[in-house]
Amino acid sequence: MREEFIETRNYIKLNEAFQGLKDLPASAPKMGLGYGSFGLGKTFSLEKIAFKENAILLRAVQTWTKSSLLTELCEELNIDTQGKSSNLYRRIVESLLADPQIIIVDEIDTLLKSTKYEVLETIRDIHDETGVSIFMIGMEEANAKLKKHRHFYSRIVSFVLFESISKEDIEKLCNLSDIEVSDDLLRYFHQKYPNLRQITVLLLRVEKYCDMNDLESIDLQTFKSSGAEYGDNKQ
Amino acid sequence: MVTINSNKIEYKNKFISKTQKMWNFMRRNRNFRVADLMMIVDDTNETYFYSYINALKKAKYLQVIKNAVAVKNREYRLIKPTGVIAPIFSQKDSFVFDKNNMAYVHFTKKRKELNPKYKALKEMLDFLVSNKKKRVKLSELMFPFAGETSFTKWSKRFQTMKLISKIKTTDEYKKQERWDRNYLKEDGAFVYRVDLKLAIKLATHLSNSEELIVETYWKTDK
Repeated sequence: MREEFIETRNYIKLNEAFQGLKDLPASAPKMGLGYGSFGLGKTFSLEKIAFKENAILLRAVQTWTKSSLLTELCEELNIDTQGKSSNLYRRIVESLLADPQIIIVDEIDTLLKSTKYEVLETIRDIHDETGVSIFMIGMEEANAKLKKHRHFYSRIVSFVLFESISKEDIEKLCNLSDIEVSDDLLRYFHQKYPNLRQITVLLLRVEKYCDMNDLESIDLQTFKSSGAEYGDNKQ
Repeated sequence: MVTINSNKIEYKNKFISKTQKMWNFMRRNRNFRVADLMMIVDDTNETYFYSYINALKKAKYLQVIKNAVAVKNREYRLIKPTGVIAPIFSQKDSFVFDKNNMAYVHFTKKRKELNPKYKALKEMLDFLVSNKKKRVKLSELMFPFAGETSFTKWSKRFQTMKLISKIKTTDEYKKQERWDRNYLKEDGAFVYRVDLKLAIKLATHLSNSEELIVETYWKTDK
């Protein structure tokens, strides 16, 4: 099985959202939010986009405070991390004004608590002063939780809902495999397995089975009789 | 009529080197699989990937978490995230240079034995260090090189790297006649002053099989 990056429906949507934010005029708010369930390729899509757009990708953690966010941003911008928060903030703003870069914050859910309110406010300040696009990614509840912060929510102009994997995405993945996967098996994968991680594992098992039995293609019936669905130990 | 300000923010299209792209991914994903790295940074050929990863591994930036026959399936951990700028490497001269902390890591292939070329040199340095010799004659240094015709070459190298240097005499009368009388002699042979600190340094390099570093002491650009 070849390993290549698949441009899934969700990735394409996310990419379009980024391009949309980049095209907005300087005076308009340019915040974006992507949300969806686990295993839909959010983080991997972000990696790809961060690499493509040369963006700063930060992963929010429970221990983040205002100063740790600023220090991390300074490190990413390769500027001095010494001094008070106000000094760090000033340096970040100057750096971003001189050389704008998109900022992406992954796992935004960790900041949507009452104790982390000031971290969100710092992000808003940076956005307002520099005008750079800021994109946040979180779980399904992130959208509802952000609505509570109304002044923050009003700045979000681009929403991307990560949907479950489409049949076309599964087809793209199966095309990378060395064996031919029949239509009924594709449909079965689509109905039963909602994420690509699981399907990759199944395909690897199926490839092994086909290699041992000299098969070049597989359909649903052979798949079920092969025992590949439950691994080697379960039948 | 509503007019929209079309002033966009210009994100600069900076040139980012291949190593920088790989380094960025490694910093964000401290534990990573080579195939994942290759999937994200897809504009680089495989050989370049492997050579950069190997160089970082040898310089102890990366640690192997899971080994596999296929390089793609290997997993690594970045244990020295020194900063934003990617360390540069040279496979030919086997070194990694890190601009973040201005560190230079030289790695050589580990040999079981020291290069035979340097065995005599190691023996001579050990003799100097163990006897704490401050003054020597060339004839005293010659014994490890017995049977070799290259001692003249070596003696010149010792003087180039200032391991040994002639001692000037203070005798005004002798200075006026021949040049060689300006330097101290004993029984008709020159006496040399030994730089013991340098001798210790060189001996340590040789015991670590770092011959290339030792070579730099006499390969100076003049």
